[in-house]
Amino acid sequence: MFPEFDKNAAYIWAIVGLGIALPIMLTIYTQIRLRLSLRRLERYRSIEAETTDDT
Amino acid sequence: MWTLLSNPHRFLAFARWAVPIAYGLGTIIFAASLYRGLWQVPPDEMQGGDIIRGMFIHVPSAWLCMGLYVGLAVASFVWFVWRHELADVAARAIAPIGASYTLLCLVTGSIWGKPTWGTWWVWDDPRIMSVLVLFFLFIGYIALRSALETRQRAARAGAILAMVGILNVPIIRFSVDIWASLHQGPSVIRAEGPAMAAVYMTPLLFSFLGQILIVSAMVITLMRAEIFTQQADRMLARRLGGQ
Repeated sequence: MFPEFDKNAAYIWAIVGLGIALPIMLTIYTQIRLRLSLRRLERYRSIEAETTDDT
Repeated sequence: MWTLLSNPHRFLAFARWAVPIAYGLGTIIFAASLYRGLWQVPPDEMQGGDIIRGMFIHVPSAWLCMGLYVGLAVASFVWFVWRHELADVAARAIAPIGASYTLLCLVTGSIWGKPTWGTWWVWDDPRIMSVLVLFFLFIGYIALRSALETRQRAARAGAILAMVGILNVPIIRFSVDIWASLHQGPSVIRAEGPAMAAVYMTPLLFSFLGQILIVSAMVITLMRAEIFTQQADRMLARRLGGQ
């Protein structure tokens, strides 16, 4: 299934592994940042809507 | 197009459909280039055999970190001259992604260096040192912005640092031509034309294209997060001001 490389296989797989892991981790990080900021904005919007209704 | 996207509402509408397309297309292109680079491309005996396959990760990460820094400096310049808020949002979004890809470039370069040069790290190599300086510029930008209290002061200090730091990008590019370096000279963008065989060049360029799309999706996502944070901050300030 996986290709077989020469004596440097460990170095090649380490580079490829990091190259795949980084975009995955950054995607998770950016999605968490987006969700948190959106949740905070929606909380303030609902508070503002409630305040407007009261007045 | 830039005028259209410079409005935050239009930008948010654009981001909603652009991000999934960029992620999807980028992942397909990146995966296909890796498949070609790892499974189908022959080893290059001139470059130490199979280790050449590390190029499909390391070289695009090097181009990306320089490109991201240029993006950071241009966005900072636009904010500094025209005070365009979306440019500042872009600069803030680019910095952590740029720092991460610069670190990837340094680490994968170090791993490649061990079997090729016989060492993980060389302190007096101009290419390695100038990329290390680029990493510190990204980290310095993030730290400087976090250290200052008001958004305007942080944006101003960050923009000056980013614009001054752009001088490092041509130093990285030409370091191997000007000084003696363990790092090989340019083999793709050269006055005499590319020195690399097409069999390696095609997956390399596709890997770069795929990663550009993925990184663009990440930057746009962080820009959306920053715009929502600023909107929430304004609502909080209005609320506190009204009490």
